[in-house]
Amino acid sequence: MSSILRLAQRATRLLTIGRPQIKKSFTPQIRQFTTTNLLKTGDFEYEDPKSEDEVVNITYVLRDGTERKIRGKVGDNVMFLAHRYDIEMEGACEASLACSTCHVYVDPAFKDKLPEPLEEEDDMLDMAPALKDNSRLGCQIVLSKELDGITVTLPTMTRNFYVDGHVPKPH
Amino acid sequence: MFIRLLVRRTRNVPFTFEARKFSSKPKLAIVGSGPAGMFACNGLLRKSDFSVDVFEYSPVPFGLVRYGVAPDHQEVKNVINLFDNMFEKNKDRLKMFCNVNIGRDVTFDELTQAYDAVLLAYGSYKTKKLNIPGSESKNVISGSEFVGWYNGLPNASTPNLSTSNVVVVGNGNVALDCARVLSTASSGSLRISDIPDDRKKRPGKRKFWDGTRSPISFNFVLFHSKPLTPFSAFCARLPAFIDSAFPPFLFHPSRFEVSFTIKELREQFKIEEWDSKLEISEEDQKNLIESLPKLERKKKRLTEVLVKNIGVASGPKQCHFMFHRTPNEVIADSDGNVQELIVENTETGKTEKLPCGLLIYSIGFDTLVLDGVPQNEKKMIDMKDHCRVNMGSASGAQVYATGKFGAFNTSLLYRFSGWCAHGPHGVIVDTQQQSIFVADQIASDFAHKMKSVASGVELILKEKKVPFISWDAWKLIDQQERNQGKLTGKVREKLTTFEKFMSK
Repeated sequence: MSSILRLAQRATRLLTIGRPQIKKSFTPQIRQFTTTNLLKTGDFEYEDPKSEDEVVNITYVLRDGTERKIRGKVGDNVMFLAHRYDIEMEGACEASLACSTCHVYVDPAFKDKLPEPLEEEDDMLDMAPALKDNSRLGCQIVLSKELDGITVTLPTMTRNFYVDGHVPKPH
Repeated sequence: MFIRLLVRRTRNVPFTFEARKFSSKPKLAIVGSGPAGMFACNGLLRKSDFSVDVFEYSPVPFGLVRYGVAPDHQEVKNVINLFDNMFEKNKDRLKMFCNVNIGRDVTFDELTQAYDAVLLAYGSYKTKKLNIPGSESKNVISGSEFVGWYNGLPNASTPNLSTSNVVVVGNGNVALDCARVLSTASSGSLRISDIPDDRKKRPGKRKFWDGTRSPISFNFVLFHSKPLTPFSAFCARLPAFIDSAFPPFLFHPSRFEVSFTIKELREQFKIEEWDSKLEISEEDQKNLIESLPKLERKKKRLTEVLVKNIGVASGPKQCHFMFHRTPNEVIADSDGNVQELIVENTETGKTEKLPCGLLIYSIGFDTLVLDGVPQNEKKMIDMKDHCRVNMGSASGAQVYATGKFGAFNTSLLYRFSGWCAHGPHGVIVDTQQQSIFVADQIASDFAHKMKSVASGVELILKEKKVPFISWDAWKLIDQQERNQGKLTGKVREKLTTFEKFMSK
């Protein structure tokens, strides 16, 4: 049952062009219960593609620069898919748009193929360290045939990341 | 007595041997089970063979996730599922000891002797006090006290909510959380959240949470350029409070400072039945609008929200955002309850009186240095670099620090570059990234140290009869809370006493 709901939600999201305004009338309380219920588990991503037609290839560039090539499928959520393959992408709020721990950089060639971010996603991206033009939340990217060959890069965390310009004392 | 002691000793011996025999994995102690400690733990378990003991001062784990995150932001608490999985998957090498006070139950020295590495991730729960005449009056409380109270923190003092005038002083998310929870609660929509029932059922308060109470108005006083407190404690979160020692060009062009995050700010303006408005001078308004095109994305989007909501709040339920105010004095009535707040308007130079039956201030945190942890002349944890504590020539564990309010942010490093470069920090993603980073450092420091004879402190805890709460006991509490919550349609009904779950 829940997977049907999830598919329905995905379909709605894929069909929606631009920024849907429906959420505006919701109070935060109502929203939190609907989103968490619909998007919580990520079971769908644990199913293998049923045919070649479904396959969407995606490359994750890890924080140390290594590449992981994954055979995803149409409808997979990029964050939950990363969890399946133990790729170090967090997802603290489980795709309910309440954090930005799944922040990734999207291959510029694919940036425009993604639907525009919701206002909530943009709000969360504002909080993400090292934001770039091609920043998105992994949990808001749903694979489609059009995205076959997409690369997403996890932000690197270096010392400079926290203390730009600071030179630590030798120890 | 002697015999009993002997029996206990001998009974312990095999355990000790066993522990030593099998503890070839390096052993890490994490002090604090909030997001900082748990994210670091997760990162470390993922990429090393460390075995980890987590110590928590509260009887239950997860720090600010449980006792800080607002009850209308349940989705942020989903992160607990991640921590749950981590404990379930790593039962053989991950242990939790709640209700343990490091520094008292186990000394810091004992800790560093019993582990190969110690990670300090205990945050900073020492609130900065509002130090103005009359601030000792009744119903003058800090934001963190209020947050702790509505989140069910054991032994939290109860504010008197039977007032129509609340003033919240502060310009960060804690202040905004307090205001939003009060506003939404008075509209009745927090009934299904995880605010404990005993926080709602106090005599005279019931109506308040049911939303049938008479109107309340809020005043937010956001004060500016007042050297009320030293800069250091504020830098992580509340840049607006910075005193004049700070170069002015770092400020927003209009000298109009907020460090709310955009989501929370938007929410305040969207609360049903409430009229929330930014009450600012024409000059400020002009500056704000003129600055818009020049701002970078994050500030621009936040400023757009602010500009959209300029006006004067009216109607039965009002929330006024006020700026350029410096609290000068709290006036109490004959019973000692706060009655009025006197503020100076630094824009007009005039003194104003704000009616006030409950004053909540959130003006920052002090670093708390646990007994035994090396501290520097600024009374902060003495850091050797970005994440290592300067232990001098002391033998024992390598000590690290991470976290939101803790050593990491308020260390000297942060004062000059980190914060300036990245803006105010404090949301969960920053904590997560720092902690994963520190976990990487620990893992690489120990990459080649394969042998360990670290014993851990479980035996010390048992010997000292410290009534700790284990992970399994917490899961019982968790289950009971969820079950009890189901009866009333709540996420969980938080317990506030835990005696029966403690180890004997």
